[in-house]
Amino acid sequence: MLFNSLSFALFFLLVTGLHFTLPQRFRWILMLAASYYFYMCWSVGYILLILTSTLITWYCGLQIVGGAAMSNPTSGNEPSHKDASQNRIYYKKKVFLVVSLIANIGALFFFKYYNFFTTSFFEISVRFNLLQGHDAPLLHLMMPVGISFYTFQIVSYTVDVYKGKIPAEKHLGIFALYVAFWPRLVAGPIERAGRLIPQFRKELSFDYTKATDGLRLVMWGMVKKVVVADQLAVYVNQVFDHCGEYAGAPLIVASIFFTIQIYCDFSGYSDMAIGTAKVMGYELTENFRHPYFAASLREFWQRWHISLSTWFRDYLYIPLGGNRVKRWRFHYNLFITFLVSGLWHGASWNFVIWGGLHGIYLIFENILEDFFSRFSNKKATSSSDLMTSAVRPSLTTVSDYSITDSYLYKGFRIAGTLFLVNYAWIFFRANTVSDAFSITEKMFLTGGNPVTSVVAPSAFILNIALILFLFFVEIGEQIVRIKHFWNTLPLAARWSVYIMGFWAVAISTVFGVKQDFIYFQF
Amino acid sequence: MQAKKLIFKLVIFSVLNLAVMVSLLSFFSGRNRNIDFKNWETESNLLVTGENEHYDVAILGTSRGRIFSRDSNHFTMEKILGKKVINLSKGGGGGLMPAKIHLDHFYSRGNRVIHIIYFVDPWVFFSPINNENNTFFLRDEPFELSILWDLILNRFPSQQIISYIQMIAVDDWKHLSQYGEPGLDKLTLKAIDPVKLEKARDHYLGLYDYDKFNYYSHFLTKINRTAKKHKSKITYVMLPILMKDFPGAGQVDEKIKEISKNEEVGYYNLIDKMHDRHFFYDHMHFNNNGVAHFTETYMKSILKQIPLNQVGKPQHRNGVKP
Repeated sequence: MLFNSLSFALFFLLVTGLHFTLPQRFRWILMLAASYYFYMCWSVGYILLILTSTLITWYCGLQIVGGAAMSNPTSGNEPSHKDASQNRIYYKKKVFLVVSLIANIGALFFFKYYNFFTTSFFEISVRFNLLQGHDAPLLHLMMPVGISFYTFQIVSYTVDVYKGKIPAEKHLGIFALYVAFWPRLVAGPIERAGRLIPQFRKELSFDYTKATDGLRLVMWGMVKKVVVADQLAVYVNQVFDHCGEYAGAPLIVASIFFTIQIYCDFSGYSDMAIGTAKVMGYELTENFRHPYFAASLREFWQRWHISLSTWFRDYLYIPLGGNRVKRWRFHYNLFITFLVSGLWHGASWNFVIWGGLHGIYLIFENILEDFFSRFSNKKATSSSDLMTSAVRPSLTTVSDYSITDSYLYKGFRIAGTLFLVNYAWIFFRANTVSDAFSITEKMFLTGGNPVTSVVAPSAFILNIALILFLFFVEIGEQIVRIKHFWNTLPLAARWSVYIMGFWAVAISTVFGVKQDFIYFQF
Repeated sequence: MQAKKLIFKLVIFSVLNLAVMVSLLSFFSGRNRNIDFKNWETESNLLVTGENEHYDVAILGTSRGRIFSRDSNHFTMEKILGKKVINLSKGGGGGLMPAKIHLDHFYSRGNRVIHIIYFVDPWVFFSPINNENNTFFLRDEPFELSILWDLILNRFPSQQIISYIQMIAVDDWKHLSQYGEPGLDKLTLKAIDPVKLEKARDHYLGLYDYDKFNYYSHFLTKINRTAKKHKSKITYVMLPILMKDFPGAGQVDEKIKEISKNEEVGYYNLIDKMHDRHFFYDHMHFNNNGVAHFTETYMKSILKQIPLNQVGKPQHRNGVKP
């Protein structure tokens, strides 16, 4: 059930209506049933996987906390007995943490990475004249939709419970709802239990402002996905899927179009997810903050897929030591984090290279910033704040730098960041690693008409118009307080925009080429 | 109170969009009625169907009925019958539900026909691919609001409805609606190949949904009602098939017999006739020789000799005397 479908509209209306009709104590039942139904519309069989993961994690969470509660006894045991008892409890906590992590990450590995690692292993073995004549024992399984997202959510819950940051959820139904909450089930945002679970217990009454804000967000998400991303995808797919036939300008244009497409596709989905939850009164994590206006790679990762980058920060980068280690180790941590982040996106070397590139970018950025900070009065913020900045990126832009506060310098940095991000996206989108290298080799060759050789001129002009439209909206959101500005508009103007938005989506849905959400494959 | 305010605004928003939608669809509906193709020039029905015209015979069916108009067959048929014929069959397996849609549209334009001959194939009583899931029966037809409404009322899947709305964007109708393989009916089947027939049987069986038999059969009754309402006679004819014991043929035969008796319409089961490769260009379709022979031998007799009240008599139910 796609967000941009009639069946979803009916589902959403029904669930929202019932949500506000039912008493608070029954709402979790409705939302859980709706979430499982929503998931079963994608794949019926894999609901068992979610149920199993939910049960294991819930039980382990309780056992971890059970151990922790016992570790604070008031009984007057002898010190030696006390130490032994605490060791036993510590050991028990750890065992349940490991069981939960192995069960969940094991399932993710099995369904998503088994074939990738097996194939890679066999390919390497053959190069060393081992396992000649043997076929890799591959699994022919469909990957469960959203497994990467809900697994990460489950892992964050288990670790947070283990560290004592949050209490274990005793109510199985509420916990199951946390895992399967339908607006974010198939492609995030990846929510933390400490933020989402309390909302399921809160008495949520209908809030007109939240509901209208949510609906506006849903519509804007649909415009980004259906009108912009799907339209650009026609050009992008043609060039990337037949990259051998193109050289020069078409490859450059396709890579730029993909940069816009993936942003509109994924942020569009996130907007729809956040918007639908908001209509019902739930607040989900903001996932994108105009990432292509980032003036550094560090800032880009504070604006792009925020729920995932903060997840990696908290559950991989910091446990590895973060930046409070020796310099080489800090760079190593950074690189490993981005390598794993790449692998999270998909079981392919393309994604590993994409992640690795971003890791290298950040390391070089850090080295350069340290170098330039010697000539500046201001301290470079990057090395200590890298990956850990909790400050809103809009407040930590290059304006902090002493070199110049000019728009020209800022523009130069934004363009430089965008160029590097754009280059890395080639590896993300290309069908194979060799395709990606072939594209990067051929894209700066002369020749190749970017228009007539790929799509009809009218379609190309439409693509440019859509990108300009998006650019001005995003600029507008950066410059003015869009919500305040919106409310100053006359009613007729606002409604005209709503109706135009609706028809843009409707016409694109009927006459455009339907594309899957890119992040559903992850 | 706040919820009521939002619901009120959503209703207003929906009504406004509905009004815009109806206006737009009305604007685009029937914009190609000035195109006047003939049955042998196009696979489209709507581009052939005029307004307030009178025909002696209308044909309904799948590609096995459509072949009666491809290339020069339409002239041959009209010449043999001495009648004005319109062919509303749809290639690509247009079954009972598509036939009902096309017949409805034919009458909605004020057209009349004396006698409808529906060449029914057994598989259209079992296969969703020939009915609500058929992607061919509207892909070469221009947009008409009445057809869209019919699709919605007959609960066609949203994908088929969207595909039909996409026809608004088509402008090169001549190219789009032409038959892709002209001259095919001049060929002759080299041999009746039992292996190919067996494959065909498996293919059709793979598409069958036996639970849908009654639902699809009910469309015969709907078609009969429509025909009677417009004072047309209707006769069902099961065309010859080179395969003996075609899956479901017996069940279909029984059903049509029952309907023809209850609803007083004609029915001829000719499935066992003309089992000669010289009448076919492949295992399913007549060649021009087969069309001519069938028209001369059977259709002429059906139209001329058999009045409605004689249908059901033993000597006519399982074949017409040449």
